Amino acid sequence: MNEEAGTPNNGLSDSDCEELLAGRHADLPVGAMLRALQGPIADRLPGEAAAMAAFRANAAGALPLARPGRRSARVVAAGVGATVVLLGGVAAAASGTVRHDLGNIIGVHEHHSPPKHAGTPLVTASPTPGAPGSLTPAATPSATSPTGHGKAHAGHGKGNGVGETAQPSHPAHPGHPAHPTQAASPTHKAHPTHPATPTRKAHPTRKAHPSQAATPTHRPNPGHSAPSTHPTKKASPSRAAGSGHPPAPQSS
Amino acid sequence: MSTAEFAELVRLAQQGDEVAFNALFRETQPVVLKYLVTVSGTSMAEDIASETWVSVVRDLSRFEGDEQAAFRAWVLSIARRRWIDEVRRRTRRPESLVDVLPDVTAATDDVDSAADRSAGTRWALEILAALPPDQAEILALRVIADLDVHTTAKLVGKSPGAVRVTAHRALRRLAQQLGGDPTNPGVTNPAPPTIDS
Repeated sequence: MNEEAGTPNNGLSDSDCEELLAGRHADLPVGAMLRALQGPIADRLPGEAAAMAAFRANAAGALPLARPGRRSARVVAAGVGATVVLLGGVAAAASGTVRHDLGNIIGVHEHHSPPKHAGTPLVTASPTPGAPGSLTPAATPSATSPTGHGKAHAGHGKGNGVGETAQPSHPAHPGHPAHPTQAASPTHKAHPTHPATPTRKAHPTRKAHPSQAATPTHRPNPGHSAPSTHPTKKASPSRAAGSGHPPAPQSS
Repeated sequence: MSTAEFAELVRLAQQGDEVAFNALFRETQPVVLKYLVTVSGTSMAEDIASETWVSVVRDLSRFEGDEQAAFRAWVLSIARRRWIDEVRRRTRRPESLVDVLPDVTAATDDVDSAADRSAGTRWALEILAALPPDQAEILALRVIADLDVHTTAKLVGKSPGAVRVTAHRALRRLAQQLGGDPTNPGVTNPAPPTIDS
């Protein structure tokens, strides 16, 4: 290799380069220069006092980040905490129960007083069975949860939106209004062009049964045309039951 | 210093032995300074070196290795990161090398000899720093820090082949600059290298 990109090699072969880098050929100008690089830069070492001070400070614990493992310990602790919370949420969602005190903590609890925003008939359970054109919020899971995973008690006006399912121990309360936060959910408003059809009216003589509302095998009424007209709504068992719709015959 | 001695030095320093750490510092700081002078210029070298040693102190307990070259490479990798951080902060590369070079006039028994040797080193550092940055850095790591090709490649994030090629280019460029006589006045810095062999 005599030429490289137009640069003469000045007689330095590859082997010369290797030997130069190995510290030989000190007789060559380049070798002398490379050897000079290994000499002292000064007779004193700047920064020694600062380095020793840092070392003493670290030994005394004055450098908080110097402690090995502190940061990783915090990360591990945060990870464990997050895992516990996550597993708790998953377990609650899987079991379908959220303790009431926990519900109170997270702000989802039973309301026995009429909500302020319950005036709209589209989101309020019919206080009087048989009121036409009323839709209960429990009828639509998407109404109680932004994620659409939440279920609600049929006719109970309760739903925490975090996977709570209907509980048979809470009977349906036909006169109980919906939770205001559920009723006012911006993601689920009554479709202005979707008036209540006769099939969505609460049955005048029937009350929604919680077990029907919670039955996951309950299929939507095929004659229910609402899901096809509203893109965010899906047919769900709780909708039919919560709205007082006659439940489908159960196989049992 | 043998490998066993150095390993013991590192172990003691990790346990908080001040004398051991001082020995490590004295062994490594000249290399760190010369490397930083080469790549960053002297205006930044001492500051970056100080930051480097603070990081070394912090992370010393995590260092694993018993060879001096491994410790040197580890410290230089920290110095390189600090230098890159500083360059990003300043977004410029200093031009002058001579203005802030360390003072060599401190009282010693052999002031003239130390000054001469330092002058030779400074002369060589100036020539090295005049190379393209990648060539200067790789040559500094190969020659000053005495790192092998693979360690150098790992440190600068290049392949060993690229490191070899860059080093050869740098040497040929140096040979072209220096000609037949390192004290040639046509060279970048005419200061003669007076080295005790």
